[in-house]
Amino acid sequence: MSSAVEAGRQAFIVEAHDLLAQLEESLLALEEEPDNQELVNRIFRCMHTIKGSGGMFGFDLIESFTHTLENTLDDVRKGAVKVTQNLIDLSLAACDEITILLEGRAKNLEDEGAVRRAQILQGIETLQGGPGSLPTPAHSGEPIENIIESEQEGNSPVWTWLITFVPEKNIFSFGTKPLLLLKELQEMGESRLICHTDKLDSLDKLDPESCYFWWHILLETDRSSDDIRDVFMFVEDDCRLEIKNLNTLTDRTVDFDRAEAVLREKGRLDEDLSAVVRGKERALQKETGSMQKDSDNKTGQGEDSRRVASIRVDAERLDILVNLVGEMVITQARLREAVDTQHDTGLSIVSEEMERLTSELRDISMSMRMVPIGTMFSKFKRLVRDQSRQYGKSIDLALNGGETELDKNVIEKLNDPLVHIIRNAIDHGIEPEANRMVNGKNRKGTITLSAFQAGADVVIEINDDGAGIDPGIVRARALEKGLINESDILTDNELYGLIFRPGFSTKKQATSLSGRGVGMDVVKKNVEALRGSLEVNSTKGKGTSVIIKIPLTLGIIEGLLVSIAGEYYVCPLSVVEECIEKPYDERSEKGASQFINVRGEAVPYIRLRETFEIKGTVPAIEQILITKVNNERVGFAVDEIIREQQVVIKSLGRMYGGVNGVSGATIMGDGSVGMILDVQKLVSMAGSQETNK
Amino acid sequence: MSRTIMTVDDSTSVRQMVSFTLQEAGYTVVEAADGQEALMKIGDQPVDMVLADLNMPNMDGITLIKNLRAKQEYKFIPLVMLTTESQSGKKQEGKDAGATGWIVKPFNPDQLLGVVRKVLG
Repeated sequence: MSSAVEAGRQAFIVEAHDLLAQLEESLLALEEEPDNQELVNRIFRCMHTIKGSGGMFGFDLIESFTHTLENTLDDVRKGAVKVTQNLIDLSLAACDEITILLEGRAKNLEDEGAVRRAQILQGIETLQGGPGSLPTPAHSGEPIENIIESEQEGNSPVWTWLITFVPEKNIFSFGTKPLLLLKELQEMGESRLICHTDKLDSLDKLDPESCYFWWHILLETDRSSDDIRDVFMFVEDDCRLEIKNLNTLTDRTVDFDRAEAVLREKGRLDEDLSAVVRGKERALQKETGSMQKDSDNKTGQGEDSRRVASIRVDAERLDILVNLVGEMVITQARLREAVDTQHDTGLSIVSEEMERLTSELRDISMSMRMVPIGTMFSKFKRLVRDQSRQYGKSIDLALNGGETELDKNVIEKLNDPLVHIIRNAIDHGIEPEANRMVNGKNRKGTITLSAFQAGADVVIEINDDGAGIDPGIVRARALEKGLINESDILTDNELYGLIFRPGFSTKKQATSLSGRGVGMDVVKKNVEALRGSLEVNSTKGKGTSVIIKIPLTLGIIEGLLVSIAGEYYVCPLSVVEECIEKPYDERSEKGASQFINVRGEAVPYIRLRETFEIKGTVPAIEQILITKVNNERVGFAVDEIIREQQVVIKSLGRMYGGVNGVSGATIMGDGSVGMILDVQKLVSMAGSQETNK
Repeated sequence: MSRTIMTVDDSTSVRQMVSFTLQEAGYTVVEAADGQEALMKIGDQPVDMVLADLNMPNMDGITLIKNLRAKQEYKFIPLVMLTTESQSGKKQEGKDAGATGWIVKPFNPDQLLGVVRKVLG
């Protein structure tokens, strides 16, 4: 049985975290619409479930802590307590406490935690207008009594009881089966059942759905009258129940046969029991009656007929699955290559079928890890609320595109960078109210968090309508830190890029908000670790926007396999618009900006052979991949286009991680290594080369 | 033939614990997350008993019990509600709706089986 509790406990922890997130979200929503009854109900239900389930799985502290909260929320539900700022503050603080309790179950939780919780409870009780009734220890005390009683088993006195049970006529309509109650009594000891049928109506008046019987039960048992009453606990209000200890009337043993005869005849036993007792005195230390243990009730496992719409899966298992699928994609590529050399039609069909299945399997297993980014966004509401208050600023957080899906692992890793960027926006970005008024802005600042999908990337934008970044200050700071030289000429965008350099901080004093010893350089590193990119745009006086681009999934991409001088390269297929052939023109000057005419539009192109400094002769006809990067069309000249292929991205490792223009590598079917092109980086590298000239 | 019990609770952990305990004891278990789902599932899977939480989204336990009692085939089966001690008023409301009995949360597997045996046999 304990494994049921243990499994439940694990499920509870996961569930409670979900509930707490819901709770927090609902509380924040309630803050905006204090009259929304549906929200109050939802909040109550969350709290109720946390409390109820918490108690079941041994989280006693959570149970007792949430009890008062639940009562208060119940009062809110009934309209007895108003939704106030204070209530929401206290409830949010309570959420945090529950989280701590949930995580640190094993740790010593007395000391500060207890003090904080007591304070919250005190605050809540004040709201409620009096101390909330704490859960009475009655129910937890009960089992102990039972234990004591059962310990006395064996030498507890045996009593003879006369039980009169007269159910109401409608007892069946509650789903109660009186015979089961009688059976339960019979299991307590030696018994005699007398059924009275005198209340039966004549057949024409008889309602087959009513109960016309009543019973007398003679019972010899060591159980107390409370135990007997417990049998009838659900029907106490729907019946007349009398429990009489016959041994208080006589000290001799009751003769069941004679007693039954009297009961049948008269419908009751007289006060004088002399007619129904046997001569000898009742033995006080009698052996206990037949205490049937119902352990033999355990039959085999019931057939599992559960049908579930969704199941929870360990995230780690999903990661393993994706890794395995990755390996399978590689193996599939090898199979295809092997089949291509065989020229066996039968084999090709199988291989093609396998390829289709592999690619479906890949898509499905990737999609299993996709979760809407909104789950993370809503967490930031709390952050903005708390931080802006602490900072005495009034800031709204607007969320767009929360339904955009992203790999779960990516979302987790994005959390810290986003927190940092938002903190920055609150601290450095949004001006104090007074300044905003002077500048004719809305008193309330707004931070907008939006997400949308663009090609194979998910773009996350964090905009604020604050003061913006002053390029002059950035430049001065960069000079001071020795990041640039006096003679360097930098565009505004390049200056903003300096913000991400280690050791850069424009604010003279680190504040409690953004000054956590983590700079924007760490943010950038985190984003780049996800193969993403980061960009800052700012207009002085209007605001700043940070744009993060993250590839949809890690791991496997559709690529276009190309080659230069016999070496493989892979270009992410998602950026490729078309491929064009172009005769190699020897006169075209090396390194100079080169353009190709694509249906009347001049598209610049980069000759990768030159970028990677590959020696050898250029083929007579070059292939140019036309790609779309940052909304601009850019071409890449390569020697040969081989085919489309799914590729599994492998990191280059620490040694080669810094190589520019390559974002990773992949293993080809024949075992050789292909480089995955970092198209964005290649374009910006070419761009800065241009400017330097 | 093993008997089928439906557990209706919006808390996965409670459902899981109830299911596990009852299955160990040889019952067949059907799960539902709220009253609405319970009514839907009960349509294609007759059950011998229902254990329902009171506070649930979409349709609460009281409404579920009323709805079930209105059906001919569920007029007399045991319908047990799960409550917490703070809802003593709800007990009466539940009985009025036609509940057979109640289990007070928190409960352990033995208490659960005790009640099931009491009302289902």
